[in-house]
Amino acid sequence: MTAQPVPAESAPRDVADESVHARLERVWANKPGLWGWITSVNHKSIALRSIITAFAFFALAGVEAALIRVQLARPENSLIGPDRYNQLFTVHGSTMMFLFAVPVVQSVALYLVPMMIGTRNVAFPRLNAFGYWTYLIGGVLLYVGLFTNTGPDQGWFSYPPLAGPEFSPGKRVDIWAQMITFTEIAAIVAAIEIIATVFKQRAPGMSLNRVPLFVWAMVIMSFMVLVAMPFVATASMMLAMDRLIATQFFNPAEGGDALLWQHLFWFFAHPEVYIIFIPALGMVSSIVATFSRRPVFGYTAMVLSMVSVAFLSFGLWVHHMFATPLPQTGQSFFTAASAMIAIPTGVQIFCWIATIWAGRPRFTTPMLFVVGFIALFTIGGLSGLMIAAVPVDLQLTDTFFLPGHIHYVLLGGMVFPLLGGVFYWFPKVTGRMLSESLGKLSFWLLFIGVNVTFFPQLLLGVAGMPRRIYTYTADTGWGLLNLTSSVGAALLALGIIVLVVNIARALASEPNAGADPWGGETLEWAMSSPAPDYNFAYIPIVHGRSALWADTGPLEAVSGLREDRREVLQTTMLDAEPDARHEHPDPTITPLLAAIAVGITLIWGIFDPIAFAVGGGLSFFALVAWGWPRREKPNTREIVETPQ
Amino acid sequence: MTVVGQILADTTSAAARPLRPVFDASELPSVAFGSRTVTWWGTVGFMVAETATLAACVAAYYYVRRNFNAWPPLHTPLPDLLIPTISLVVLILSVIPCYLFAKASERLDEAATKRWMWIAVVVMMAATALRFLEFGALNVRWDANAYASVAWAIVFAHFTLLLADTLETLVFAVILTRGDAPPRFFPGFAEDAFYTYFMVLAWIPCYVTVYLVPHWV
Repeated sequence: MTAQPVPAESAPRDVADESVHARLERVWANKPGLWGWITSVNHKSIALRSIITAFAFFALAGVEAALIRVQLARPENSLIGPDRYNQLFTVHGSTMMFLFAVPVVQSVALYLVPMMIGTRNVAFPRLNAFGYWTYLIGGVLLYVGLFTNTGPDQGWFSYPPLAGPEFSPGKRVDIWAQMITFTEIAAIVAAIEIIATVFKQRAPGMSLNRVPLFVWAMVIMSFMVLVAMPFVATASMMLAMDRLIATQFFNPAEGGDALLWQHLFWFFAHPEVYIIFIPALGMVSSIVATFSRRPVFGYTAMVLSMVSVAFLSFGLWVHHMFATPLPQTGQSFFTAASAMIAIPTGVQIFCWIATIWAGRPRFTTPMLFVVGFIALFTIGGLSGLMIAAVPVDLQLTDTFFLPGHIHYVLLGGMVFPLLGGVFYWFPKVTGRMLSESLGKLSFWLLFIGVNVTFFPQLLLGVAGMPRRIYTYTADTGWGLLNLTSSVGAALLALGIIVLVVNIARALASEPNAGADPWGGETLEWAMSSPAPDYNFAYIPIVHGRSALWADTGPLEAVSGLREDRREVLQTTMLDAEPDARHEHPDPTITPLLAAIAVGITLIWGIFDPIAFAVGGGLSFFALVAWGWPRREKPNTREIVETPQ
Repeated sequence: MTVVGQILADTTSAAARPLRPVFDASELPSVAFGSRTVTWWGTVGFMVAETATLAACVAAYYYVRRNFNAWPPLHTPLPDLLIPTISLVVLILSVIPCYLFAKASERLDEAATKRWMWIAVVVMMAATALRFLEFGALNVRWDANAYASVAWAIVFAHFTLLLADTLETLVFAVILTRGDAPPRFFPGFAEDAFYTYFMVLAWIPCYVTVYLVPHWV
């Protein structure tokens, strides 16, 4: 069954008359022109540009992957030399992990969460803008490096001693390390944004046990970011200092330890997989509910499963280090912990299957991507169970099995749900439907492409082909499987091209989606598409888990928020009872200035430690400008409630 | 199956439904304090991230410790205790004026907030200056060996928190003194003190690790 756009006459009607909308529009709109673009503090404007930026990096990393696959398509290929090849796979991995996967899921959250929980903006609008600019500067830095032949070449996990000053002279590793710092700052502020917004700005009635599963997923991911990201930021700073001012953190000759890096890095990077994966689960839950025409089965079990996955993921990092000298008890513990994560993951898969089973499923494109996700993630998960066993891991570590496994997990577990989400929420963001037939074509190209690309890589790993080699001889017998993998990569590229064509066609057409083309469950479908700058003229009141399916009468709402300044409603943390009003800042340039100051600090800091003093001072002045009191607006009448 | 079937969603398009205002928010407070504010939750978020940062440094310290027979390593002097201990005491004392300006700001008592905030700024600046001297009290350069690097890392990581908090308090004191602070700034002053409590508390395990552990083991 294909999706039918809802006719235009069923666009939202509410009691707010036109003048209310006009007044709110005047107060909440971005300023016009370029100045408006760089001063915006609107969550949708910033999240959308962040999503587009992330997909641009995805495309760049895709081109790198294509070059890698062309190089490996036949034995003794001389298209790309070893040095360029090292830069390509390092920048490919670093881009996908740090500039695409985490930013894109956080940006989707920053776009949708305020709409789903019934508020007008994220909790800290300026911090949100600052996070985007910081991310952008970090990403551009990495690509300036690559295009000037200074791209990192030590692999995306940057192990010393290879990444240390002795074996990687020059500035390549430093660019990588500072790119990490930029993106971690951005990820941490986005996480704080999401948590504060969800805890304090939910619509009245949306108590914690009624929060949509998508929003739960984003909150859980955010807490993981807060704990995990500082570890890699600290580690990358230590690496940069080893290289810049001769600290000895990772230098064994002076008592430092290369394995210290691996512990700090993987304590971040294993949870990182789940930081990417859990938001995808949230997207899957939204899609499954809407297209099965019923709420997801086992709400409490779903939430608790995501929480347990989050906790367990911090106890698994050592399974990336089975090839290092570890105590045997440690190996057994981490093998068991790795296997244990299959339990909460299994609970979720069964809950979705139960939902689809008991519902009236419609296999639209978003739903196809969900089914594809379940299939691919199962293969990814099974290949993961294999390398969770120490003896198998010792055989397969540093072979092509690993890239095969991680791509099944990340493409299946994250990219497929994300693309499902693109098809599902595209009408909300743009007011236009994507073509179902092109969508299904994309799906099949990508689904077949993933298997044709990455299954041969699992086999190549078992056959003993090491990862990260720029070529191989014909007598290894690896040629056919590599060629197959490269053909698969071409299918993947084609699938993405079809998606781009689909999006371009939709954008060139007239808006046809209406407010709620799918009959959605959550509040974002209660507003027009695209949503106005203030999201809701009146904040809705929620009576059940399925905010829009609970009853069929008029939607109850809150009035009384001011229309002459940016005001949001705050509610209590557990029960979401109306508690306070909160004034939000107007558009401002200060977040961009602060990000530039941080940018100067970190980029100059690649070359000279004095940058941290000078840049710290610049950042201080930018932050003072940010926080300095503005002239009060006329008619400011504050109602102050002091603690009892 | 029938039970499940009964709760299949009613798919009446929500967007086609009218809105009916039933709650008037206009008399809700526009300035509130503590965990009722988003700032409080934002501050807690930064505390979690900064705790993780310090934990990473402290974990690195104990990890590297395993590589040495002696701690500090041979030919590396022990850290001084005098300056760091005075610094710790001054830092703990800074909590008192912070508590008092937080309480005053919760009463919207501008004069008392300003008075205690300036006292807090002076004490915190003293703590910052003493912390700067602590780098000398470590008695070893950061590049001498891994012990030196991890000790410097812990002191420096916390130094950045102390410096940022001191500067923030200073800026708030200046804003108050200029008479520019509207009522909605006062919850922020209370959050500033709340952050200082965390910052002081976080230093204690760092102090024990960097200064006492080498003397004990």
